[in-house]
Amino acid sequence: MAKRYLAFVWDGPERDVLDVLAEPDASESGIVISDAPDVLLFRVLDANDEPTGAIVGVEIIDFLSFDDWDAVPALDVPVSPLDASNVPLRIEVQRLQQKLRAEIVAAATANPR
Amino acid sequence: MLAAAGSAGALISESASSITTVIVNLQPRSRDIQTPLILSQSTAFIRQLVNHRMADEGSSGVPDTVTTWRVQTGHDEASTISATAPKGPKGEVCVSLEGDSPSLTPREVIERRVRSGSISAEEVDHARAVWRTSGLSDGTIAPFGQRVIVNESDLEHIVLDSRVRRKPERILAVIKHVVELRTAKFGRRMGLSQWDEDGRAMYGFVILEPDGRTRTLKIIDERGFRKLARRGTRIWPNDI
Repeated sequence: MAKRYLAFVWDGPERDVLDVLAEPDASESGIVISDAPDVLLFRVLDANDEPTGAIVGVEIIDFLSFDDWDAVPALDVPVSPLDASNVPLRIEVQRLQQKLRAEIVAAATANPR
Repeated sequence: MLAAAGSAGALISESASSITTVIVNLQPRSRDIQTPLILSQSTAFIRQLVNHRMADEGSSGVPDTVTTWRVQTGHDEASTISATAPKGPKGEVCVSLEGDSPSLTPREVIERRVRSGSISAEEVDHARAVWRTSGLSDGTIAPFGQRVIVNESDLEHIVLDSRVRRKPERILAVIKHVVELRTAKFGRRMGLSQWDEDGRAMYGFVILEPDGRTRTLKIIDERGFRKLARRGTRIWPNDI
């Protein structure tokens, strides 16, 4: 089995959709609609191809302006050393948001239009 | 024994050319674990690195400060390696690897999945072929009368959903079988889709930008469909 790792997938501010995926588990997962409007869950598919298994990923729409952190669940699989420090996924995601915001500000500063 | 756990062991061996920074985070978890170090499913590169460091510290030692190495990855590229760990002679070692960018693109994730064998290259090629031949990039007229566009980066994002990746024909199915269009944030619209696939009721949704580009598209279940049907305001059909 390939080693697990956490992939933060984001292809830019235009789409601004973040996927946090526990790999390789998330490579065979499906979407479940959560109660939060901007949060989707990736769950492992069962034998009927239905996403009823462990939560192995989260999708956040409009990530750069997202602030509903309580809606970000913990994943059901351990994926990183940070887990040993009990850092919740939502904290990691918040940190990523700060980094991406800073990158965008830096890029805008370096290349003013 | 020291055991290794952590993330992205394959990352170095498979795409080292794109990595300039690697962080090796050593975290003792258990003080009753003895050497030798084992880095299961990690690369020889990392194994040599950590073994070298462990030798420096003595076979029972774990570095207690942040340490940086300049190393060759085998791709003619020097990488910076840092390691940090609380002082302690024994413990589990966790290894994490990070590139300079804090995030990956969907294409990079797909490529990693193919390299690791968790998905097949044939599936991805098939998805691209279906996308090319179905005219999705030029736009497809949806039942509500407007053109829906799926460009290549949209496709790469969409196929992160396994049920679309394995059956990319479902992208067109979602667009062609929109049964309800609802308002969404920032002037977007959300199409809710329902169709029959080999006798099985299928559900999906697509979020559209005001100009018809696809922000996201997913396969969902009936329960999710009903949840989404309560969000926003229905704008099509408007004759019910």
